Amino acid sequence: MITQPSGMKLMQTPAEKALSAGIDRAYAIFGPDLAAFFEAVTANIKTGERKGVQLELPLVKQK
Amino acid sequence: MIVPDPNFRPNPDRAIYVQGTIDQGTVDRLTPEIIKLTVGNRGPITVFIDSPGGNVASAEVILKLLQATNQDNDPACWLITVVTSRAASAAADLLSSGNYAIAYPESTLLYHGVRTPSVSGITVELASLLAESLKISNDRYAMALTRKSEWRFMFRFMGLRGKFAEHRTATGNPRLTELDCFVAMLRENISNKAKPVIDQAYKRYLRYNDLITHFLKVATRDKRFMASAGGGKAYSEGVMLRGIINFEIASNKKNKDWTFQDGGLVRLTDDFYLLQEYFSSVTSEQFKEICGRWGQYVLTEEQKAELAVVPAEEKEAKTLEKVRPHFQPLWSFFVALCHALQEGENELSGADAFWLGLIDEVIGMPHLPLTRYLAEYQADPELPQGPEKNLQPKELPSEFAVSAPQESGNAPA
Repeated sequence: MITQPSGMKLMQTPAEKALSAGIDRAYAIFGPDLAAFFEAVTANIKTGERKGVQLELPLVKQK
Repeated sequence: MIVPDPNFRPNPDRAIYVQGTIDQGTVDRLTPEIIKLTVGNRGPITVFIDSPGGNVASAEVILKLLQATNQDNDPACWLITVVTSRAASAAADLLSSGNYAIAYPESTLLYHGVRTPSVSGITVELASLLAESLKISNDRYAMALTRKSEWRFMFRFMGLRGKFAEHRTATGNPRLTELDCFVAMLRENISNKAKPVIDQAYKRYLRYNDLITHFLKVATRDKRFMASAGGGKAYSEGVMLRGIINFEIASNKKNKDWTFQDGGLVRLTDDFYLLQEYFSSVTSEQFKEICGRWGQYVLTEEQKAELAVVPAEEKEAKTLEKVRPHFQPLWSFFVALCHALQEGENELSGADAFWLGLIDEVIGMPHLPLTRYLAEYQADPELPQGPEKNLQPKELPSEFAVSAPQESGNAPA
């Protein structure tokens, strides 16, 4: 979404097009409440169980 | 369902690494790598960052190389910037320059103003010149940061806007403005360490408003200013200064020791720049683009119906007129925030930077309202009861409609 330097072809990159289409699609489903879109999307996200990683480091404590 | 889009996913196979202090050595090391990545391939480039910052000119050279067009005049490569551990100062600016900016959890970001290595033999003239030059540089970097992050900030605003009514009810204050609700909700989401910068930005925003009020009082009484849309740059600056002088005198009425000679003149200069920054931001093309893109989200059905019958050549101006009151306070606040980030030392966590609109994603925090969800969300085609497991729509557009199960051949006609 950064303004392109002058002289560059004025066209949207595929990423910008995808975002733009996403904004319109969210509007088509939820109307002006974008928060509802994010709530619905994130409600289905599973958060994996966090596992501590035990590194085998040569630990040292010294003066 | 979320379908990964390579435009929003870091890719080490097409990446450069900005590590350590940024200087000419960094430019020398990265230039051949950037050229190899950009010539003949316009795919996204990932920039991994772990840097305390460094020379701003060197950082700009790297960014400009990454954003360069080619001989066919194609758009710049899409940049995904990723801070793995630390992005401070010029490296933080580089991070926010990405089209999609990501922070690893536990990474730290530091935003502050420019500085110059100590200069020996400072005279009064040189000190004054240095102060002026640093101030102009900070203003320039603040506005550049605004341009880099305006869309992110809009996403944060639009992502929370649906909860403003809830916030008004919870606080028992139905008269809170949209900006009041937004700022309060941002404060709830950021760490205590990040709160001073948002408070500083809000203070700056309120000062904009006071200054505007006094400026408008003087401007609307000035026939020449009103008749010729400003009456020339120097003349309109004069009107601006008169408005500020009135404002300063009015606000220091009770302080008998206050004079222009003892500090007031310095304040007047600051306010002059503040008012300039306000006007240049609200009349900018960027602001108009934002109004155009997000207008449909804030216009009422009645306003949309009114605009539908406006002649095509007047549509843009009329739409701007209706959308401006919604976004102008927000935009001014964001400009104030970007300026506040240039003052003092603002160390932020990834989550703080996300809520302040400086980055797009924090790895390991999938429940944040991430911009990429808009691009990556697709209705699950395999579910026969689509809407039940997909997003619950208010109105299901045709593209999301799920076809009814086929009737068996022996069913009655």
